[in-house]
Amino acid sequence: MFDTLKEIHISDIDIKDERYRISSESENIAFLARSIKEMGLMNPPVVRPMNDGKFILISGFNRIKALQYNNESKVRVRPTDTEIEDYHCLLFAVAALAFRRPLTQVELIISVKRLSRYLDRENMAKMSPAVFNTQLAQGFIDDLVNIGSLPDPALELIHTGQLSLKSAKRISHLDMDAISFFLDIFSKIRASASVQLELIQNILETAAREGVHPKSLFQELNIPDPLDDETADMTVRTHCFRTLVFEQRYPVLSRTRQRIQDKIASIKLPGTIKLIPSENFESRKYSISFTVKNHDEFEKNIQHLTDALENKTLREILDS
Amino acid sequence: MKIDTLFMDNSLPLDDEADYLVSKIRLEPQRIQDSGEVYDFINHSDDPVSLAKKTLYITQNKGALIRNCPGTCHYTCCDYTILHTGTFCTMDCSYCILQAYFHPPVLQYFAGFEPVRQALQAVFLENKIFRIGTGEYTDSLIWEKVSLMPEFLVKTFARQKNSVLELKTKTVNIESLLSLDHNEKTIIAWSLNTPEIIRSQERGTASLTARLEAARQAESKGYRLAFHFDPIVIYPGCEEQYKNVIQKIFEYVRPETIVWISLGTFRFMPGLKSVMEKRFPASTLCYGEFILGLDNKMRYFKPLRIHIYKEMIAALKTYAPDVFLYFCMEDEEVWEKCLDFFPKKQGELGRLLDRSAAGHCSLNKAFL
Repeated sequence: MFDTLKEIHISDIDIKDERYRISSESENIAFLARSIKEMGLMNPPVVRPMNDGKFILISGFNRIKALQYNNESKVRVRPTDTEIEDYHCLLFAVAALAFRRPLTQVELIISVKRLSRYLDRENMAKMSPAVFNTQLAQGFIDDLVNIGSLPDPALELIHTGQLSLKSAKRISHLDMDAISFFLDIFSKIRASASVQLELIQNILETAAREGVHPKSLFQELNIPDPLDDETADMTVRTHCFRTLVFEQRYPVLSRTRQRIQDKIASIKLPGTIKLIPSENFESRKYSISFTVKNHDEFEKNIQHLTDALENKTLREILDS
Repeated sequence: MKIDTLFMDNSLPLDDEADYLVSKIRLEPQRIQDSGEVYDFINHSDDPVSLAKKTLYITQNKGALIRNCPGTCHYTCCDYTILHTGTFCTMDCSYCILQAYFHPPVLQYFAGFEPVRQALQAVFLENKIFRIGTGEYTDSLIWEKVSLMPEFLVKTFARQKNSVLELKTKTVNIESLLSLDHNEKTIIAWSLNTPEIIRSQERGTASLTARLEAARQAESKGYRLAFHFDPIVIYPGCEEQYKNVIQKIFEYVRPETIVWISLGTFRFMPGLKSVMEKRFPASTLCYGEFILGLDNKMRYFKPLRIHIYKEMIAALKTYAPDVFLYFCMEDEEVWEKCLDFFPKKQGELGRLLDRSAAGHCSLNKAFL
């Protein structure tokens, strides 16, 4: 499949043709250029000869850029044979990167999606150790293909960590309007993977319960969308949005929590004393806790609790 | 749902009971050596639950025939006794826990009168009251049209004085029971729900009117009755709809013949949700305000439960102030706020139910 090493003019490489480019990361070309200048090019780029005498790159995009940076005009490359198929070039491109370093999630998605044009999931799973430097399960390959079909900016959000693979998988089964709606949400917030899933689930379930499409949920419920407030800090916006979504999904529970929290706050216990209801109020038990560094602090806390005995709100909370 | 595949243990004799069942189902049974063949057949389907509803496996109960109800801690159980005559169901309720309870679900009919007779004889000799039901892992009367078992059970219970049989159903399959001498030892119980829930969530079950009409027929033949509002589903307007159901009960039957009425809001093992979403994509039942209960089941947020219970209990008390009402798997707070008492002591709810059963079904009160 490969010809012997050959020196070619860099200008004969069509570097704009990135059909085999997998890497989404732009490495520090200056360092690579310096390394090549001082130590030479250790791994020759792999190129595919085209009928017009030109070449396209299969691997070595950054090396060529570095050579251009060094104002080099020629490069020793490893050309494939002229009859090579597109599919094999793609395999080389993926393997070349995967055996250099672990593929990023986005690279994995791009690779699997492109290879899915030539391989079914069963064969891709079989070949995966040799191509991806890891074993891929068939189900995971399916997921990656689905995720790869998501519109922009899905891959960008995955790359920045704003959309986890699990969340991407979850929304990939929705209709295009809903997908766009969720991608828009995740482009405006920064949430952990578990919170992303919570948001998706709560929005979908609330919309299903209300009989509306997720994208029109906020309009239907007549709620101002906190994501529209672009002045807010992303962390604050994420928190507000999560709270809002939870309130819509669990309205009575949210109101009850708020009411009890307000009542507890009105007792004005010092910050060292915590009065905590049972989770979701399923049990009647409240826990009261405080921490102390010495006997004096202990005595003060006990005094605060003794004072609270007279508080009507405390009685109301505990005897409700 | 129509049975389209019939398996039968090779070792099972084609006696009168099995012969009757097979002839009524009108399918040639595939005789099998090993139950694994049935499990494999069902497991290889993309939708094992739906396939299982059309695949009947006639076998023998190889475990305990008499079992205690698997109540969970933190919530008060009625201390029911289960007579294990079969598993799974031909009807298709979206919320049915059996979809997620069995792995895989298999529609089993446990054949053989003799083991049942022996197990029951041991119970009948005890000096205590038993409330025995067949409706825990299946519907009690799904096979009534094709099986002699319901008739056998009613007749067997008629000849003793310490136990009642509760046949719990969503069907109207009572025809073979109407002419029997039941001696008041059989309670026919219907699970009830609002017409909206029956129509949208209880696929293949009888309508509310049909169930109540069947209850009227059973009552006319001297049968004692019970009703179970379980699962109560909370949705906009449900209060009025459940009250309408309550009103309708008493248009069909007299309060005096009702041994008990239970109430239980929808609760489910978390694993059921994905099954429901897959099998009933239009159902939004599990998108209510559910929280994880102390028994690790999803339950409606407690104030919501209390609200609907209070509404329903007030209506029930209007029509039937003396009927014994109880909660299935609720805690002290719910009992106290809704029924003004809590059967706190171990087994207390069971004893109250025993008392109601003894009063309505002419059991030996010395065993109370």
